[in-house]
Amino acid sequence: MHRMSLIRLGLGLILILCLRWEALVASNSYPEIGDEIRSLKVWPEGDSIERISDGEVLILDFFAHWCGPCLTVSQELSQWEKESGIRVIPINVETRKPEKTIRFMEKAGIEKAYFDEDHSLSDKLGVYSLPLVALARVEDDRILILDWYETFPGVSSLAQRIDYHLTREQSGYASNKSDADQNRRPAKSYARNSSLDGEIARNSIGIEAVGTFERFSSSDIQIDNTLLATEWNGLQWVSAFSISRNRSAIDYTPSSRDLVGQGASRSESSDQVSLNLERIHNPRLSFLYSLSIYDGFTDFRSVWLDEFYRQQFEPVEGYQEGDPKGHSISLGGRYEYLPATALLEVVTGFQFDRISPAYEAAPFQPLTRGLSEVDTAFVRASSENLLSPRLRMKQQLQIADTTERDLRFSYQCDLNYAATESLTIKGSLGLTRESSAFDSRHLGVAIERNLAGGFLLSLAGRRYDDSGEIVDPLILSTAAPALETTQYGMGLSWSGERLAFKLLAGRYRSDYDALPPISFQFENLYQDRRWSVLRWSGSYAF
Amino acid sequence: MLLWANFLGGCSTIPIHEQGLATKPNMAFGESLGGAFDSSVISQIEPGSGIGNGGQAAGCIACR
Repeated sequence: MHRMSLIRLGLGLILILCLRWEALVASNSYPEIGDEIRSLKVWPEGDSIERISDGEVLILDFFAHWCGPCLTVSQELSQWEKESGIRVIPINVETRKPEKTIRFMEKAGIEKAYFDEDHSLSDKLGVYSLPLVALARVEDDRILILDWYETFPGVSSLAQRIDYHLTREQSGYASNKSDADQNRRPAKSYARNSSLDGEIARNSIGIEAVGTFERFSSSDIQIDNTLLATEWNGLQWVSAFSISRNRSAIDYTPSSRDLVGQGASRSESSDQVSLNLERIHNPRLSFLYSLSIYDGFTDFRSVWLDEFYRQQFEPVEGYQEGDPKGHSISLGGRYEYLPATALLEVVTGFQFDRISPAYEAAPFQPLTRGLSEVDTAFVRASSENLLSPRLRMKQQLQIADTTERDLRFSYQCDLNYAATESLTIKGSLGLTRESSAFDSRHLGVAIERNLAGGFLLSLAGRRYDDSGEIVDPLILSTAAPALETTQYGMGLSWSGERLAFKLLAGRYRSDYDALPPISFQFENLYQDRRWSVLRWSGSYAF
Repeated sequence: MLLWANFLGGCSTIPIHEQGLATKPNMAFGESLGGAFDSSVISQIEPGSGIGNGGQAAGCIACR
């Protein structure tokens, strides 16, 4: 019942997003910008822009020195201008730090840039994100926006679009200057949606490969997590494929009061394959699909408990060796309800887990096996907002319904604050509640400092506590008692043009409340631990 | 609560010429807290941490 309600709720929210988008797109239009372009000034001298002739095709290239992707776009366009003769107008939107803008222009090969002194052009066009390229044409002393690219499609596609518009004009289709709809079409969608006219090539925007290794080690447990991923960014699809391995190596030590168990070393791994697809319907709306499959023990606790039950009950009829595996599937939508500054995402999905079960034996009774298959349905809504020129916020709310459990609500809020150009402060708050049985809270803070040469230094601390998972202390249970954890660490990262890496080292402590006496056999599973944390990641953009 | 916070904080658009600080690479949410706690391992230890998919985020699914 709960599961179906959750799925219905998720699908309903996605439907609302779609309807809302259609309403907004219907009102999308681009005005004439003749006066605003003519008021552009040469940067930084302040001279007026040169004469713009009737019939001329213009490429408007909005950039700022702090916009990394703008550099590639401006480089391509300035080179193309020299080769093709098409006039490119680079428009600088950031007038502070002129020395950085000059460096940007030198790198991009821009000989002359302009600036929008009173922001009238960017305000009228609604420029809220960079890089941004617009294709315009001068007709009867008016300057009309023909196409609009929030994701740069490459100069070959631009050339195709120019030919397309000129061909339409020569054939008389667009020669009717009173046909304002030709210029008020939702041209933003040209950037990524070739289905409108079939003429935009599905260019690859980029491919990135990522590798991550993480190790948590304590006196009796070592957990290694390795992930290799690749992401392909196209005009219409973004796809990410990853394979990961989680390895849990434990020194199993039974309770001193356990008369059957004996110490053992055990290592188990789980391998996971994930595929995430994003279908870019237009620059505002994307549809999200994901599929994930794993095989093996996903966490050290299930390895510890599996070893415990194996030692206790392996000779007993009815015992089966654990063989955990599972899969998940999800779908959703992401809608940018304010251009480049605010988005809302809703994802709903289902997960199946086959787990290594618990066992219970009573005198003169057959062995009783606990739950071995678990279904979970979930709905997750998240939003990102730019609250001020310095503050970004992300929020996530998830509702999950798992077999034989109450609904679990999880909320997380992340805040990123740019104190200065080189100093960023980040905060994170999380709350989870499952009926009256379980509550948890966590709070974290990180300070990041940009150093010379593309390096970034970060210091972070975090605290977590929960109420414990034990519902009834009078019943033997493998559930965890109340937990408090503290983590602190230091990280160093470096980003180059294509290559980036990050190294983080820290300490982590996990302290449990005492177990109820009846559950004494799990006292070594839920013992206090001091962990060393090491995390390394690297990426390369092709 | 989520919608209310969005209503309070997310309904104004920041002009592009004021977005220089907010668009710094490390202001994005791909990694929270500088990557310090984007850990798949932490959710193995803390049953209430992480908003992931399905059962893995639902706590002690094998507990009784």
